[in-house]
Amino acid sequence: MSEAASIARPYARALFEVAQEGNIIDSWSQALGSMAAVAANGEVLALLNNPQVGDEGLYSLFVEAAGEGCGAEVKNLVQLMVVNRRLRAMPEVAQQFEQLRSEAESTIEAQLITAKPVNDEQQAELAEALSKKMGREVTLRTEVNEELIGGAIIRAGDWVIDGSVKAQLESLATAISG
Amino acid sequence: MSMQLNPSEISELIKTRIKDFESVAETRNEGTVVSLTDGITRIHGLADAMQGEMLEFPGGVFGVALNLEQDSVGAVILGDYEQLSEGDTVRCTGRILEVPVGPSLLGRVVNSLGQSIDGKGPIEYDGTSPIEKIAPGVIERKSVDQPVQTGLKAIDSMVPIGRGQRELIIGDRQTGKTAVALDTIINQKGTGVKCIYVAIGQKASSIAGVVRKLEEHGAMEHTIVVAAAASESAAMQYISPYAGCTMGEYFRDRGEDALIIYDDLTKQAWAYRQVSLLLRRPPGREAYPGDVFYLHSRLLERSSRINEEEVERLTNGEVKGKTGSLTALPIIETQEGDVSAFVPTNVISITDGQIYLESDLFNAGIRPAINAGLSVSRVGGAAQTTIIKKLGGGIRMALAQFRELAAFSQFASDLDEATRKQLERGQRVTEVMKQAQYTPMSIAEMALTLFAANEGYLDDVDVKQAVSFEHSLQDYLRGHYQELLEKVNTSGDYNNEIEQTFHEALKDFKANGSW
Repeated sequence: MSEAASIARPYARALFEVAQEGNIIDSWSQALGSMAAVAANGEVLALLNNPQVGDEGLYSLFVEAAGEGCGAEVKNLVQLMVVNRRLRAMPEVAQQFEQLRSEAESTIEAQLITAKPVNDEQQAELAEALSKKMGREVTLRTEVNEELIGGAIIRAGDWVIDGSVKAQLESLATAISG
Repeated sequence: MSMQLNPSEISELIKTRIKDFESVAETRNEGTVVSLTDGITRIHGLADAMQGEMLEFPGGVFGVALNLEQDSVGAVILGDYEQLSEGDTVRCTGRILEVPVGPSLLGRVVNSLGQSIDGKGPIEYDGTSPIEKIAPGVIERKSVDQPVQTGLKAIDSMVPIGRGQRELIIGDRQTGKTAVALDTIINQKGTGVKCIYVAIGQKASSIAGVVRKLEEHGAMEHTIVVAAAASESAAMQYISPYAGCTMGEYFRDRGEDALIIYDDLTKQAWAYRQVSLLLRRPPGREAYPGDVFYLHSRLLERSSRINEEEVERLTNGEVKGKTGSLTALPIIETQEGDVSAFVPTNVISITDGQIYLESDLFNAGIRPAINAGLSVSRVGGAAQTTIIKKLGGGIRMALAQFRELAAFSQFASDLDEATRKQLERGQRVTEVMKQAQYTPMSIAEMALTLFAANEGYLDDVDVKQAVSFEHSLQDYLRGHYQELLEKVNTSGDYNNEIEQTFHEALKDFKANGSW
């Protein structure tokens, strides 16, 4: 994973600069997203690892995935990644592209995992509090996991704020066992 | 084990722990295990990890972050890593690796993390301290001027060691390196010097043997044994000297004297080489990483003597007017006497002198097998007791010259009177420098032997009988001149009066004693 990240970094950075210059971040983001989904697919992975599959086949597969209307730049990217045999890094490239985008737009996506569903009002409140703490605009992605028993876990990048009952019970267990 | 659990006691304990338990939302930095090989793990994420920070893996396993890279963190796992797998979550703890310190560790055998492994139950310690610390600076130090008595006459007279000195013990396998170290620990009984014995990469049976010997001689009460046996992970072997050093520094920083033995640093360098290669750090000479010198220099630099002001500052004024010291006796094992290999030259250059033990001497029955010519102490002379300094001054040179002369005289058919006499004296001095293991000597006993050799009382004793002469002499004086011995032991002075009494005692023994 970490090696894929190192491989993907120059691609993502270059793509983002191209997208910023042309002011077409959204369409790039879409194209990358769908190509990443294709590259992450198990069957496609098998194709990527198959030496018998030619460059042309892969090229057309990815261009199709990016959508008919994609520009010449996207096609060039696919061409380049086919030649460099780096198509496998596509999901990582897409992820880093999104990261660069949220940094540039000073936003961050945070994951909110709760034991019970949270209503919109509470979400808005949380998002605002988090925005203040992180100094960025926070978009929340929610998930319900009953295993937490109660409370919530918030993940933003590497940062985790764990206020779940499950985590508290675990730390209580370690405290008691000394 | 017939340990009955008292139910009320336990609920009481649990009650206090629940009372003390604070439930707060925990904020932490997380990462994911990407790969796991030979106790080395690569972690994705952990963007805020510090160099040397403790990382927490699932199941209470800890690791240390060693490589901080752009997209990943390389870490070593301390302890078992069998239950970990790819995809596990890793947390930062925000703490640099720490070990327990304090006097409660004395008499115990612990692993590199300070956990007891002697089956005597958990250790109640006063506090913890980071294993990596910066050595005291120039201003905080004081020069070495008090001796560490090893109890070995060959060392105390020829290569004296001072409190706060680093004296290397170097030699091939089976030359008595550990024996010198153990005798020194045993001789610290009743002197207030706390000892730490760090066993690195040794057989567990050897470590058990050392502990048993120390117990037999009543030396465990003032000793901590830090054991990283050969079966422990390379990471545990690599950190064990630092852990031991931190335990020793506790005593130094409280105005006490401590002695630490690293047995041996060759194996620690091997363990570090393994960790470094697995972390893919570039290999250098003999495949050691580039920082293998720093590995040992930063460790040995922490052995030092600190002045009264520093002790007062470190104890917040609790201890006044006392200096603290940590003396180090690192051990290096050479291959075929090759002191010019990478690690031996490094450690020789770092330490304040070395005790060089030779297989040839050992096999010839000269034990401790100290090579008088190559063994030196660069600072210990200032710390020697007056009497040993006076009487032992010429011994090292005389012995070195004798060895040269002895080699030369093998070619000569007849020798002049002076040379013959020098040879005979040399042979006798060599004999009386022998000393059995686990029989450390007091200052007075050493002084007496040196005096007898210097003043020619041994010249008319047969070479083969020199050892038994010395033994009988010591016994005789212990019986008849107890007061004299005690006086010398307490003052350590040498003057005309003592010289006269020594002469009288020796004449008395030669007239009335038998050997």
